[in-house]
Order: sequence, then C-alpha cells, then structure tokens
Amino acid sequence: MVNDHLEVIDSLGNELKEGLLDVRYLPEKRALLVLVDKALIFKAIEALNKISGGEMHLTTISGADLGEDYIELTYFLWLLPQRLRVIVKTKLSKDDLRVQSIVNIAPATVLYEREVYEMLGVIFEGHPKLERLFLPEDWPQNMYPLRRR
Amino acid sequence: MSSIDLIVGPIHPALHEPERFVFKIDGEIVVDVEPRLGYVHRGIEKALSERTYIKDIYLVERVCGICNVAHTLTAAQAIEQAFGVEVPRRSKYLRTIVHELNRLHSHLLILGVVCELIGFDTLFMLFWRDREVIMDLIEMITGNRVMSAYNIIGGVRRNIGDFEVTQIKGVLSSLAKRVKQYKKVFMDDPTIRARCAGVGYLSRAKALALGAVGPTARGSGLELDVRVDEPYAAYDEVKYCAVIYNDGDVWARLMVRLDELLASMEVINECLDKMPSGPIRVPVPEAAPQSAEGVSVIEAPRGELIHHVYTKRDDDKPFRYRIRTPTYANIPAVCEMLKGCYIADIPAILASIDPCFSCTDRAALIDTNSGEKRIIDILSLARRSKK
Amino acid sequence: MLIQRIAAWARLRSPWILHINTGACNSCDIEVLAALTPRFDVERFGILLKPSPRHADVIAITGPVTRQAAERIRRVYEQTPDPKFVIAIGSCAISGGVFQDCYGVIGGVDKVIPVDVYVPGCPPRPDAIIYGVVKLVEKVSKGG
Repeated sequence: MVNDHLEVIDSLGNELKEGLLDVRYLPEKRALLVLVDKALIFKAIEALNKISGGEMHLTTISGADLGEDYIELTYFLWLLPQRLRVIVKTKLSKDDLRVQSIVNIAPATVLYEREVYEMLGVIFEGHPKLERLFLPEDWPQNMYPLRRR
Repeated sequence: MSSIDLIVGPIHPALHEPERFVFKIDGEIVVDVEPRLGYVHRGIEKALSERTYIKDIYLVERVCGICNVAHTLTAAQAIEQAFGVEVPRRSKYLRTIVHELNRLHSHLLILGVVCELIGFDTLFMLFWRDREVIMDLIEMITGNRVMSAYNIIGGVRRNIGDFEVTQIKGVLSSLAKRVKQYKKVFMDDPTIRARCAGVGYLSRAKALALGAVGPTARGSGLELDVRVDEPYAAYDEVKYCAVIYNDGDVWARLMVRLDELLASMEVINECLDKMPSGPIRVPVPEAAPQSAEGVSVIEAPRGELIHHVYTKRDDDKPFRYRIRTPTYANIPAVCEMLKGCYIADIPAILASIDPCFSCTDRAALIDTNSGEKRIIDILSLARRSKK
Repeated sequence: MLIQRIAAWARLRSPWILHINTGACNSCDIEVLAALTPRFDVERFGILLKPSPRHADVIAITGPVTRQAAERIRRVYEQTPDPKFVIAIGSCAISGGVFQDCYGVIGGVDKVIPVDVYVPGCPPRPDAIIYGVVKLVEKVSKGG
C-alpha cells in the first residue's frame, strides 16, 4: 500500500481539473496535503469519498485566523481502504466568509461546522442548524473569540 | 399525543465534552435527541495561544484529567513536529508505557461506572479497587497519581530503572488474571447480558458516517485504531492488533475495552523488554525555530485525539491551537444510538461511549403539557430503572 | 433546643455530600469518586455522596466556575436546605487555577457562593479530600 497516494493524486486531478491548487505527499506528517479553491471544497470531499468507495472517516474541521486577510479551513480525513491520511485546505477571504457545507457527504461535520461558525464566523451554506454550540446565551453577536483583530 | 422533554445535563467537565441532552420522549421510548453543549466552555484554545509552549503542556493536560497523558503526548508530538525535533528512542518507549498505563486506569474506571449504572455495584467496587494499583504504578513512575506531567517537549521527565520494571511486571501479571475473570463475568452473567446486549445499537455504516472513534467505532466493527493505522511513539516497533467486535451494542463496546486492557498489558510488557538505553530527552528551543504546522493524531482511551498547532518563527507562543477530543466526535453517534431506546437504558448507553462520565450528572424532567419541572439525577434515574 | 442539639450532633457524625462540577477537568472528580471506593472508603465514617441538593449537608465543588455554570451553582446552593457548608476542592475551585485568564471562566467558587473549607492540590489526593471534610466537621462542632 506504499504508492496508494499516487493513485489518489491521479484520481483527484481527474475529478477537480484546474480547481486543484496543489497536491503533495508530506512524509513527515505521513499525509496527503490537498489545497483547493473554496468553491470546490464540496467537490473535493465528494471526490475523496468516491475514491475511498464511501469508506471515508472525517476526523475534524479546524479553522484558523492567521492574522492575514483570510481564514484557513483544514479538513482532516482518513481513507480506510487506502489507509491514507488526507488534509484538505482552503482559504476564505474575510470579506466573504461563506463556504458550502459538507453535511450531506459526511454527517459527522454537523458539530464541527457549528463550532467553526461560532468561533470564527464562517458561514456554512446548506447546514441544517447553524447555531451557537459552546458559547453562553449572553455572548455578544458578531464577536468571535478566536478571531484576530 | 403528549410528548415529554427529558433534559440530561448540564453540569459536565472537559473542554469539548460538556453534554446536555434534550430527549423527546413518547411513553418510555426516546424519539429524538438534541445535544446542547458549552456549559463548561472555558476557552482553552484561546488561552493556549496566549501562553508559552512550556506552559501549554500543563494547560492541555487539564483539558481532561482522566486521559491527561494522551493530551500531553499529542501536544508534545505536534509541537515537536512543528519545531522539527526528533526525540530519543528510549523516551518514545517510556511515553508508550505511561500512555498505556493511563489507558488501563481509564478503561477500568469506565467499566466500573457502567457496572454501577446498570446496578452491579459489586463489580464497580472491584474494578475501582484494581484501578488503584494502576494509580500506584503511575505515581511511582511519574510522581503523581493523576496529573502526571510526564511528557514534555523533547522527551519525558523521568527515567525508570530495574526496580520499576520488576514492580510493573509483577502488578500487571496479577491484574491480567483478574481481568480475565471479569471478562468471563461479562460473557456469562445474565444481568450484564440483559442490560447491555442489543442495547444502543450502532451499525458500522452509521458509525463511519457519523465519525465515531475509539471503542465506540470498534464495537461496531469499524477498523479504526490510530495505533495500527498511523503508529506513533513506539507502536511501530511493538506488536499490536486492533480489537474489533461486530455487535455494535453496549456490550460490544465494553468487551472492546476489556480486551484492550489485556492488549495494553502486553504492549507494556513488550516495551519493558525491548526498551533501548540512552537519553530520555533532548534540549528544545523555547521559541519556534520556524513558521510551521504540526499535526498529531493518537489513540486516546476514548478514541482518536487530534491536536493541530500553527507556530510562528521566533515566537514562544503557538499562533493557533486546535484540539478535537474523542467524546466530541462521538456525540453524533451517541445521539443515533439513543433513538428508539428506553429511558431506563439512557445511562448505560451514554456511559458506553465513556463520555468523561461526570457529564451524566443531573437531569430535569419537563412535562410539556403542564410545564412542571422536576430535577432528578442520572443515578436515581438508573435506580428507578432497576425496579 | 435539645432536638436541635441532637440533630447537630447527628449531622456531624454523618455529613451527606453533594458533589458538583462547575467546569473541572475531571481529575478532581475521579479523586472524589475514588474516595468512595475500597482503598479509601469514606462511607465507614458515615460520609455519603448524595446526588440531590435536597438531601445534602455539604456541597463539594470541583473546577473553576465557568460563565454558564455560575447561575447553576447559585441555584443548587439555594436549593440546599440550611445549615449548609461548601468545600472547594482543588486549585481551580479555589482561584480558577490554570484557567484563571480564560474567557469562559469567572474564577474561584467563592466569587459566586460562600466557601467554608478549601482543599488545595491539582488534584488533591483522596486522603486530602477526606481530611478536608474532617476539618469542616471540626470547624462546625466548634460552632463554625
């Protein structure tokens, strides 16, 4: 199963064409890093789900405000048949913090997307219930604890 | 048809695991479940990026007091990866040993709690008696019973010698006999079979789709174990096979834990035999040498735990720190298990995912028709169910 | 008067404890629970852990008080019948501990309700928790 990531790279290239900004294998993390445009995030996860034959485990979504004018979203996936860790990254401009929700492909994201929404203010379109998760009821609107000013 | 809201919670401990469930109930059967989280949201992720790396190790340890070794291990690995530091081989073995001891105490703890919740108090006391000998071992190796602060960035804090090796081996061999006995009880005892077998069913497909991790996933036949899939620390050098049960019920999840107790003891023994000599830590710079990203995934007692850290060059604080704890990942799965179960089975099902059990603390029954509210706790709920 | 003195005497011999967690990391909680199990076995002193505030004489609180939990413990405190005593267990319950400056945390338990005995440690050993209860009993028997 050593060269499985090469096959995954090929099939991803076929599915996503030029929307795929970068894809490479990181030996120190033992993971495949996929960079995509935010418009294609749904398609990318769908393609990975297809490659794994539906045997995809979503570990988590992590959002980060790195002090620039964008917010970085990282999706951690585990493909069971390939036994491969895949890290999908995308960047959202702070002017337009909307991205398509992937709840339909991976129901596991339902809480992670809510968390990223309340901590960073990213809006997931198509999420069935995008509400506060952890913060108290009296927490002010439009204040996101993990945003940098 | 009158429906009743049953609210379980809200008092609960760890960062990502404060659970409060609102159950929609028809008679004795749960129709729908809605989790509400955040009663004990402390804001650790933010605090982590305001403190130095050295202090962060002590803060992540307090994300969860039960699996504290898992948290320090993951944090140390993630930060080492971002710093580009390779730790000595001996420290990897020591980390594995303490990590597995931590798993032993955590599994014994939850097995005991489940037994208490289903009304088997004798077994609860027996499990907790055996847990104390593990706590003694942890205290002997690390210097503290619970918060061990054993893993640091660059290695481990203390070494072990021949005396400790003989002690650990002696304790484990007598504990293994007892665990085999308990396993027999779990296989044969009619009380346990009646309360656990077939209760809280989760299919393999659902477990995968809902992102279940750890013993919850493995009890449903899902082959997910980070120790096998992405070996860290010394797991690439020891023999380990994932424990899988296909039943998908409370009983299967408990059996996974019982078998993992035995497997963990074998791992510890193998580590003690194979442990190389040499240094136990390397010096690490205080500030990050490069702007980088570190990701570490490990198999904590409750399942897959992930830490994700961004470092910034010449800064002694992480830029962003993200933690995803295993119970958090299991919440959608436990909601699925609870649909269609009896009220009396709620405590056992909740405890079967090992949700840092204090969350199952207090419950309020609200009758939607009269608006009357009664506060009860989950233990008396369990007691009521025994009648 | 006599009845009150008998009640006070009886209460001191068997304090019933309600344990609540206001945002602790679990380590103090497992040590409180460990105090019940065969190695430490507090029940031999008549100390019983009770799940309801209506039955409790002593409230044992672990953990820093989070914004969401503050209102809840105030309510639990009001529901507990008099006379009632509070033990703060662990560094976090005393001062907020490592979580002092987190945005979700208010601070120690004494910011919200009055505390009678503080048990330091992170986490305190079960022995220390038992000692804390003994100290409380001494304090109360001296007219507290």
